[in-house]
Amino acid sequence: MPRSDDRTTELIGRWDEWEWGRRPERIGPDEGRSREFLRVVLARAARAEAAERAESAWESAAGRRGLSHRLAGEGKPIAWMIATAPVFWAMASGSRAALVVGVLALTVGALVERAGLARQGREN
Amino acid sequence: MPSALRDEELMLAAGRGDTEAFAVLVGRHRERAVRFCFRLVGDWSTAEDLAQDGLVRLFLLGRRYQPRARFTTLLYGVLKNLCLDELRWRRRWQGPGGGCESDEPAGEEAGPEAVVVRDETAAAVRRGLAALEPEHRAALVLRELEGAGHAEISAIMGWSLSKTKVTIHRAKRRLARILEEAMGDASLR
Repeated sequence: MPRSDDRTTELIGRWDEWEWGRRPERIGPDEGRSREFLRVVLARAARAEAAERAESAWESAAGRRGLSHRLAGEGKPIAWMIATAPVFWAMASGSRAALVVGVLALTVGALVERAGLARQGREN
Repeated sequence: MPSALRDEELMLAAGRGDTEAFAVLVGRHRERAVRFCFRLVGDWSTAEDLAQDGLVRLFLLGRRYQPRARFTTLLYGVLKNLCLDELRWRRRWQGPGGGCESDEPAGEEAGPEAVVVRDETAAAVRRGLAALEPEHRAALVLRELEGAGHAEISAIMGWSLSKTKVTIHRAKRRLARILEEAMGDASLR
């Protein structure tokens, strides 16, 4: 290993030990501090868990499932039929405006589905 | 007795709602978590807050936890993500190196000259680490200070093994150059 690498390692190590030596008392190995830290973690975990439960209960109670959920999961075939309807309309009518609307609807549908899939991924 | 169990077993028990097992896990890794966060963000208050946040996330992850890797790999991964978010936020709002100053006053137990040299060295290393890209800093800290192997770092960072090795090498080179400029240290050339 080159000399500079050894020296850099040494300096980082010295800085780290020096900072650790100056840490606030509350971060030390004291039993009481450790209990206090744990108390805070458990309290925050309980709050986060309660918030998660409340959100999921609210979503299922209110049937709060957005378009992104429908396009990405349940109701996918019907949602996509609605999104692609303007394309069929354009094909049937031969209207250029309808074609533009159809392409836009498909693009928006694809983006929304992607967002829905990402959201489901996060939730799972 | 939870204290005799391995980290992975404690995590599985915590996932089943055993808070005593989670308490043992927190007690075992509290200092490591705070110190790792400090090494990345550079101030103790934020480090403590991020460590608590990371452990909360682990508790919530417990229900879906599957011991595929070492517990510390998961712990470092969660903490690293939180610290990088914090560093990116600081960079966006405070510029490069923002918030890298330590929040605690310097000790005065040594002589004045020793304190000056020590303070200069510490400040140079702190500035050097703050100047690195947050992800590079994380990889370097894992290698140099946490003693993690390249394979574990690549799992924590989500990089290939070769990218991990190259990034750590470059980060260390960059830090050496910054320290050389700051301290004029011949041995760094």
